[in-house]
Amino acid sequence: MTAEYEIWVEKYRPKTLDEIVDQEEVVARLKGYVEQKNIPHLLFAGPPGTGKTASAIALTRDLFGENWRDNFIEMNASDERGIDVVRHKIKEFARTAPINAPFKIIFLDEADALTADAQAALRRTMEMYSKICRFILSCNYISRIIEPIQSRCAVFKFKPIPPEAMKKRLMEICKKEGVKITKDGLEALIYVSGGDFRKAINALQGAAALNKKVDANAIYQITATARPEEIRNLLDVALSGNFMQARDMLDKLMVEYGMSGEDVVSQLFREIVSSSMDEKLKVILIDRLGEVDFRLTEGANDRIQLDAYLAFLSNVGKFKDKK
Amino acid sequence: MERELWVEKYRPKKLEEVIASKEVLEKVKLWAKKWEMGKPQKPLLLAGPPGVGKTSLAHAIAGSFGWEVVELNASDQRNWQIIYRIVGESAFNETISDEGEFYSTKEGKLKLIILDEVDNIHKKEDFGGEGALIKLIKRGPKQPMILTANDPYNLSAELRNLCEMIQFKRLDKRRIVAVLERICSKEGIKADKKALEAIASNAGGDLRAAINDLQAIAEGKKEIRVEDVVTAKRVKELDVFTVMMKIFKTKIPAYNDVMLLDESPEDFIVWIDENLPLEYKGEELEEAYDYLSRADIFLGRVRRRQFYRLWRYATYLMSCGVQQAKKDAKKGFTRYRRPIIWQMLFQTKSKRERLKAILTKIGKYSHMSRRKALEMIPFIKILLNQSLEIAANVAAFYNFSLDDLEFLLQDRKRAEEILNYVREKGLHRVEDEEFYLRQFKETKQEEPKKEESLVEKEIDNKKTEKSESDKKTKDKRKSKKAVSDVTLDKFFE
Ligand SMILES: Nc1ncnc2c1ncn2[C@@H]1O[C@H](COP(=O)(O)OP(=O)(O)OP(=O)(O)O)[C@@H](O)[C@H]1O
Ligand SMILES: Nc1ncnc2c1ncn2[C@@H]1O[C@H](COP(=O)(O)OP(=O)(O)OP(=O)(O)O)[C@@H](O)[C@H]1O
Ligand SMILES: [Mg+2]
Ligand SMILES: [Mg+2]
Repeated sequence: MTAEYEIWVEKYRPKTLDEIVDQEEVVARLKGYVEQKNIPHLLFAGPPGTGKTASAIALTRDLFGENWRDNFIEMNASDERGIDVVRHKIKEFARTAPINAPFKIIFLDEADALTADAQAALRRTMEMYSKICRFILSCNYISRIIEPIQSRCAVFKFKPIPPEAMKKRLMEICKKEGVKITKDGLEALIYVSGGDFRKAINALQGAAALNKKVDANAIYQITATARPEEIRNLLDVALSGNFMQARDMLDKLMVEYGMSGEDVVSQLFREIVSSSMDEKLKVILIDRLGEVDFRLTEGANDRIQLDAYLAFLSNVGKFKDKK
Repeated sequence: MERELWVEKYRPKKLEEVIASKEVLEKVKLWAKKWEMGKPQKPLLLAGPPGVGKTSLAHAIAGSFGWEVVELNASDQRNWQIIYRIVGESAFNETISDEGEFYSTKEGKLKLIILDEVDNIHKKEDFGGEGALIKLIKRGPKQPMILTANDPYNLSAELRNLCEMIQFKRLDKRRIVAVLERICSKEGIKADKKALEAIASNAGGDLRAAINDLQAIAEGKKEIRVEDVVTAKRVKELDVFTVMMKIFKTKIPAYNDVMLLDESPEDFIVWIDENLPLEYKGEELEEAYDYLSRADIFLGRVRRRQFYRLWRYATYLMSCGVQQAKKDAKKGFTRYRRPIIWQMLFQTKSKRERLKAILTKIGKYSHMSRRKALEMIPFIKILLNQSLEIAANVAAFYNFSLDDLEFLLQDRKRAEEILNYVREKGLHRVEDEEFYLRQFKETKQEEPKKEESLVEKEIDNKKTEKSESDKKTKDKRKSKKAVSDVTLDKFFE
């Protein structure tokens, strides 16, 4: 028996171009290719969870039909990002003949993770075997794709899913799955997802599994997003010099919400910027926060970096009071 | 029957058999080659915790290059007269053959002088030993010399500086397990990997301890299982509480104490982090945390690039850095706390590797990189904790193994239940079915065999999906769908 799609992002992953929500321009152009039964090299750029990977696969299915897998190779460049992969694995596949099709497709997902050298090594391969092999590249940041590659591709920009389109789709899913969702729950989904469909659907499913009724609370909990006021509290307590209490609050956020260091830093950033504290102090806090953020990427243990920031806050705060 | 200690039976005889970083091995090889070419080199000082291969490496060099060995260790008296006599003679006089003839060093083999455990040269009993050694080394020995020590900072700085120091690390668990596995196979013992892992964990990076424990448990057995591993926790040389007290209360450098701990720096920093705010306040706290934060950066670099050399900076900053951040020594008693376990969760290598394997699977089937796949884990965990049917479908969808499930659920029994369900219902991924289908198409003429009824049924399903002509099976599908809808509805009530 085939495993059922219990994971909703997979269950509701578009199988054909027709099922892609929004992104009308992109979809229209891609459908044109399907009619012609031909594609150039393509580059899909845009933020996470907006349908790039889904579109690449849907396009391939629409083009090749039932046996699409025979002529399709998907590689996640973020996992295999070195030049040797390009020189060997990719090249090898590029020059093998397609099976019952005019060409095959190599889909390099998250290609912005490829090193510049690796991208450069791709250039001749894209040209030399283009008769039998087309590339689809996807990326979050087009600026990380070297120009020679951009110039070999037709570029498609994916936009964040607008609230209305997202709401509509989420409501559909709720209906099909028999989920009750409150209005503020839906709004919370829009807020936490920021146009990222994957995030929204995952949050919805997680919240629905744990709650009879999905409301804003459930969504914040599940998405490891602290409520804005919790972060504000954390800041206040730390700045008042109470390190231990601040650390307990931090632990709670990290353990209960499962927030990563990066999550906490991002929310701290939002809160500090929009807070009403002294502007000069803000600059000092943000400056140091930037350093913490950087150290998170270099370090091994998120909690130590954040604890260090709290220690800094609890010291800087006292200094502020004296003034 | 002769009883040999496995630690000796399996002591490396050649350089290649010694487990050490490539860097260390290369360095040592080069050192030896230069000697072979007649270019005297500084003595090597091999430093590090017990049972990690210092002595073995010294002997293995001699083994690999066919050198003779003269060894003086802590079991020998090593006062200045003895040092002069034994070391002086070997290092400067020409080699003496067995027949008592003199060879010049060029024709004769090189002779490796091993001064094992030099940090244990006794101040009284071995009076003048270290001084004599320093004088001899300064004169430029004509034979290669290797010193070993657990704590190089017990030696005088003068002696240390005359040597080329190579720092040995506690061996990582995976490598210890590999050695144990090899020994088991040579001894014809079937060993449960989990059992070996338990032995390795218990050894705290000391391979000798691990091999000894293994022999105690396994000798004469055909098979060992986890239950057999009940050896008592090895006594730690220093416990974390003592070392923390030294760090937090005093300014006496505690670097070496941390080096001698069974805890890796990655684990120990978590202890410091947990307890630091109990002792330090305000400015001190901020400064100390800045050192911890920098120590953590070095740990991150070690983790990502395997630059184990950087461990020493991390260790130094988390000990001496934190110590110097305080104004005065602290008095009084402080009850230190154990760090919360969740922090330790992702610290160990085997766990990180398991996680990586899981992320690879999620990435493959949900079309995303491992990095992005991380965001799926919380949701997958939730689903795995739902009804068995849902959990099993998720498990089959991602092709999770028992270990994967156990890691995600932290519950072996549940993991087994889920996997059993998957097997019972024959759950598998869509592609597998397409694969069967295509195979079937190719061999259509042949009569499907009876045993393959499972495959057959799936093919039926598949056909209806495609052609939707067979009404009967279509209805069957419908009813199946209805059932799953019901369960889902009930679920989300
Ligand atoms: N435009 C869309 N229409 C319908 N569903 C979408 C759309 N975009 C995303 N989704 C949903 O989100 C899931 C993830 O989308 P997809 O894998 O295409 O994201 P992506 O753009 O490739 O993101 P990333 O940059 O993180 O790789 C899909 O399985 C689908 O459920
Ligand atoms: N790096 C290693 N490679 C291979 N075997 C090792 C290694 N380290 C330890 N062993 C095994 O453990 C035994 C003890 O190792 P060794 O005598 O070299 O330890 P040491 O570092 O000199 O420790 P000590 O400081 O206690 O003298 C060896 O006989 C060997 O079986
Ligand atoms: Mg994608
Ligand atoms: Mg030794």
